[in-house]
Amino acid sequence: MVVACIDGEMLVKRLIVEGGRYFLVAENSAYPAIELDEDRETVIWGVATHCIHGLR
Amino acid sequence: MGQVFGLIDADAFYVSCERAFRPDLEGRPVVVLSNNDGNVVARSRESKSLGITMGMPFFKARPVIEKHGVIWFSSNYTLYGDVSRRMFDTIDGFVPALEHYSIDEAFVHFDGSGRQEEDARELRRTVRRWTGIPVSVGIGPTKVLAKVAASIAKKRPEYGGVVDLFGKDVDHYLKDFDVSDLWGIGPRYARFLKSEGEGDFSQPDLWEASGLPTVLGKQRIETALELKNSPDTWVRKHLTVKGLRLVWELRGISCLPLEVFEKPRKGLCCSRSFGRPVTTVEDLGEAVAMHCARGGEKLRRQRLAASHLTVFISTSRFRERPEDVYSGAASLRLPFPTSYTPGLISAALSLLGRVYKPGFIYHKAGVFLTDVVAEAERQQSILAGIDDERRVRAMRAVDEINRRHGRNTVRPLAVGAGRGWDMRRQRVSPRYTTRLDEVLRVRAC
Repeated sequence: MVVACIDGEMLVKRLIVEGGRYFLVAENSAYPAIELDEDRETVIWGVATHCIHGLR
Repeated sequence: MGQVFGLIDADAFYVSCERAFRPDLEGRPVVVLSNNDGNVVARSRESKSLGITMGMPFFKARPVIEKHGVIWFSSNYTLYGDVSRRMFDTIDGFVPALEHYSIDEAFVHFDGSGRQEEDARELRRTVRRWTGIPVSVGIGPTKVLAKVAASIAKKRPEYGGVVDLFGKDVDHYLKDFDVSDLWGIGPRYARFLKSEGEGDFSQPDLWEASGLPTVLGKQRIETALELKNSPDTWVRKHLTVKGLRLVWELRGISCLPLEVFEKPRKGLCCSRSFGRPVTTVEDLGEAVAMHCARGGEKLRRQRLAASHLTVFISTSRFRERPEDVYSGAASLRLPFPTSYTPGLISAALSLLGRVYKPGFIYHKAGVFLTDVVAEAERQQSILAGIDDERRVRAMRAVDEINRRHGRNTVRPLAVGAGRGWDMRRQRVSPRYTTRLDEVLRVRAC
């Protein structure tokens, strides 16, 4: 899970690498995956390592 | 081989703090303004190249800011202080010794492995990764040379943020280094050194006796190399012993050790200019009380107590008519060293009554707490006395609540409720790292 900044917007998504291509995938399948290519300015801001919220 | 000194200096620190949480600002012109949004105090590279200068008044920079879409922030010292702490913590893990020189600079020792340049590059990458702050590193056999190296690293991107002068031919770098950019050479000394003939260059014997390559032909000192080669006696005479130390440091002889331990405080000052003109003694009183509350808190945090209190108030120095300018100060010795806020406030308000003159537009107020002693060392004479236990406990409770729930959650009534005099901060960023309700928000979908 990463926090990424895409075209100036901060998003938390799963980063998937497949055959040399990079995708940011939402856990909610209603949202399409975003492919990271040269058209998009992307900064991987950090990797999520911990969650302080109760999940239930 | 002597000690290896390093200077780690954050690039446009306040701007970098803002950018650390706003990656979208990378590559765009950004400035940070001083208290009350008065002057430009930090500029990104892009803003510098638009001609915005350090200390430029906001109103003067405004046309450029609007024309080029420069992003501006009010200063957010809570954020900068915390990011600074993170930066120092990170650096501390890398080096055997560290001196906090300022909010954005640290002097360090590198170990004597001879790999200081690689270490510095690794350190630079790590600070960037862990804190988001870009830093430049200068390395040398003395503090002054480390500082020279760091400013070369900043100015010349081709060095990749690290310049190592240790064991190098320093003269090669110093010959192009403007003497006025040296650490410790202020504008007055710079003017003196560069002014033709003003210096005592008329004693050629003195220069020759130095055995150093002289700058006799030139009659003035423009570069760091020329200063380095000046005779000791001349330097001492014109630049005092401090200047001599600087020159020796340029020659690679270390005179300024790392100051690892914080100097014990002699006193502290809490003051601030007002967000709007203040005329009444009531508003001044609220500001003074606020500064006492801050000062008391600072004293208690460091386990100190003050024996002397000064209150000062002033109008702006830039009023057109001299009769509109006024500043006054008064002080008193407290009955015993204390850090008890209500006691400081009542003393301060009585002092304010002595210095306040109606009919002026006040711009600034503050308090000095001086003659500071460590709580543990306070003399416990029957006559002198100390803060009694109940007061100490009350203050401890107030500090704890304010620490957990934010500054001023509990505050003395004398501070007032309106805070009409408070700072003007039109565009302050969230306190991302110290307030849970202001953390960075990220979209999941």
